[in-house]
Amino acid sequence: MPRLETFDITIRTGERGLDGTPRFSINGFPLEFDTTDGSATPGGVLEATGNPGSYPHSLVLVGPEASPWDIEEVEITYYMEGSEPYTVYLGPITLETDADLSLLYDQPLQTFDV
Amino acid sequence: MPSWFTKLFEKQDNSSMGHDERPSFPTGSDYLDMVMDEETESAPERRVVRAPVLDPGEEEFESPKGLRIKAAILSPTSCRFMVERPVVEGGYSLVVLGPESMHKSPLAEALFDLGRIEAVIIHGANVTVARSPEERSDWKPLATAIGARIRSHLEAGRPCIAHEYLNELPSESAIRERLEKALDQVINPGIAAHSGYIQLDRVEGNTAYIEMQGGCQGCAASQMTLRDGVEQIFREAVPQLGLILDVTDHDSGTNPFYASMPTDEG
Repeated sequence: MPRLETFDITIRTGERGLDGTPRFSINGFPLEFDTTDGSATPGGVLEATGNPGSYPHSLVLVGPEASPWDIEEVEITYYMEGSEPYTVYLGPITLETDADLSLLYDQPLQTFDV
Repeated sequence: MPSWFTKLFEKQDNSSMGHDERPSFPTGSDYLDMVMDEETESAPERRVVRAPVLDPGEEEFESPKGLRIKAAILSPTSCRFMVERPVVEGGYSLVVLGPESMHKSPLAEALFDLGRIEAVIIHGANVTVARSPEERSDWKPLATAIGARIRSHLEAGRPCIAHEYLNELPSESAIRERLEKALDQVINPGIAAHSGYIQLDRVEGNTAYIEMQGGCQGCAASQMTLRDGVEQIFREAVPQLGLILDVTDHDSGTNPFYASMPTDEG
């Protein structure tokens, strides 16, 4: 995967939220988001931007430690070096207290009937 | 010095060596167990999960009658055709690189006849086609022609891989034995310096499924290792091998190579 300069993420939280602001981790190294707006409290929407500036083999949203976190939807826009930005939409998932969420997804393939 | 390194040599020192016995070196899995034991001791275990990716919506290009085939453009040079039913059964796969080996596949022969095609890969319900790197035109006209050719071929009941070729393939057990020998004797000793270890998950037909562990799991260079190293050695061991598929969960390694690199904080 090419160098990931920046990514924007929007997280829509369901019934059970997260206290505080989540972090992300790239290649095993935890980092803070550079900007955040909103919250991950129940029903909340958190918008954040990360600037890893690195070649990712692993990119994860660090999950909760105290209680599960219900995520309804995640939108991630990747800004890769030398290529057009692309956006991936993730569906609902519950992060248990031992789980992190992978944020590394390839650009979805556009398909058509032939 | 990491404790797994010490354990590695303790194990050698304690091994019994009679006159007729060779020294008992640890196998790749012994080595991996030692690395994993240390990781387990030093860090709370967390797992990485993946959420379902929502369909961004498909582009309805054309809906011809008959067998449904969808095309997905993978790159400027390759396009995958997904058929609503398997085109080849039994886990078999075939990589046809150029017209000189198209006798192995009546379907590849039909596709090469369209021109501008350099390779055809057949597995399960998918047919992947590569065209010339110089070709820069829109994929859709060629994809439409390929889709029509695949549909007519399948609806006529013609085989995708030649029966004669399938009949000459080694058995799954023979393939597994040769690949495991290549892993034990050539590949794993070579990647041990990166704390890496590769194991054969399974063989289906002539298709190999491998899993990368230790330092290879999650490593950014793992696909290069697979393409430039493992694939070449595997094909020397089993020339009739089909696809080699990596089933590693690269997100959830407990000892990915880059994560184990020393930091300024020590």
